[in-house]
Amino acid sequence: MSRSDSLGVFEQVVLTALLTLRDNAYGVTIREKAEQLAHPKRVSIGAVYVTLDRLEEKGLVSSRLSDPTPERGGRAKRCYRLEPSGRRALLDAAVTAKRIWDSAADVWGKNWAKNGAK
Amino acid sequence: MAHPPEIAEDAVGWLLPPACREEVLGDLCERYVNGAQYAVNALTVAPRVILSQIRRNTDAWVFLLTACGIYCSFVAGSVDLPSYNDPYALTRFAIPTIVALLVLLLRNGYADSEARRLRAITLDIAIAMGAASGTQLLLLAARRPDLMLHQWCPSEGTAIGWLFIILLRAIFPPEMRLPAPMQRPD
Repeated sequence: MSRSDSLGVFEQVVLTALLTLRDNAYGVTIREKAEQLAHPKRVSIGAVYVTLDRLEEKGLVSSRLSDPTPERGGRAKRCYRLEPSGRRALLDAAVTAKRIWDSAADVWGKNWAKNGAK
Repeated sequence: MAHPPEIAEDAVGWLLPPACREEVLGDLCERYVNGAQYAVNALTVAPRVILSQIRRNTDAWVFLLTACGIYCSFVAGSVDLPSYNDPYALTRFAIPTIVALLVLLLRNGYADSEARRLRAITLDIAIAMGAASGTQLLLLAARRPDLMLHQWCPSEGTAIGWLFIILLRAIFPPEMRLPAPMQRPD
């Protein structure tokens, strides 16, 4: 992956949210899931839109407008989907994160994350 | 289920770029709790989505060429060449250039059609160059006449700049990259 295609941390968070939400991934649900993943950081919906826009431009996700619903004042949702290149990019990022985790665990012990959080 | 007041939605809808208005208004409506929360959400979301659309619709190289072109147009439209002894020589030409570029950027942010026609682009450029001239006549005349361009320079610079940008946009047509086809289910 070239440098321009490498994923930032928040991009990884948003892609992971898309991966877990599957067919129900749109602005509101993606923000909620991203906030769970980024805990204790707050996630604004504006940051989610900007990131989704960038990821779509990179070709890692795609979107379409869905049916309008009454709880949204009769407005449509923009539903997002992970593209195969997005899955690959997320997998690469996850493999790197796992290597970092394992290396840290070798030095700091297996409970390092729990102890560090205290 | 509570919904935001219609007037608030209309105001926010007016602020948002058309390319993402539908889904952003829907998301804001779904998250609606009360008026204050809606206003805060809308005011924090709007600048980000506008900037995002500007980034999407603006080609950095064409923008740089446009900036140089507008600046040179005002220099070319000037009767007197900038003097080295004049401390405001460069600033004088930079002010209308910056105004025109800001207007062009905003027009890029609010562009709503995938196939932008030459007429729309021509209008964008006319508005941008008009704003540049207008700034000269209104703002600077009232506050800083020393920063105003001389005599016919604003109108000549505007005309040259307008022609230059139209030529530039004809060579490099704007590549509109909207979020996705605005397709709706049948």
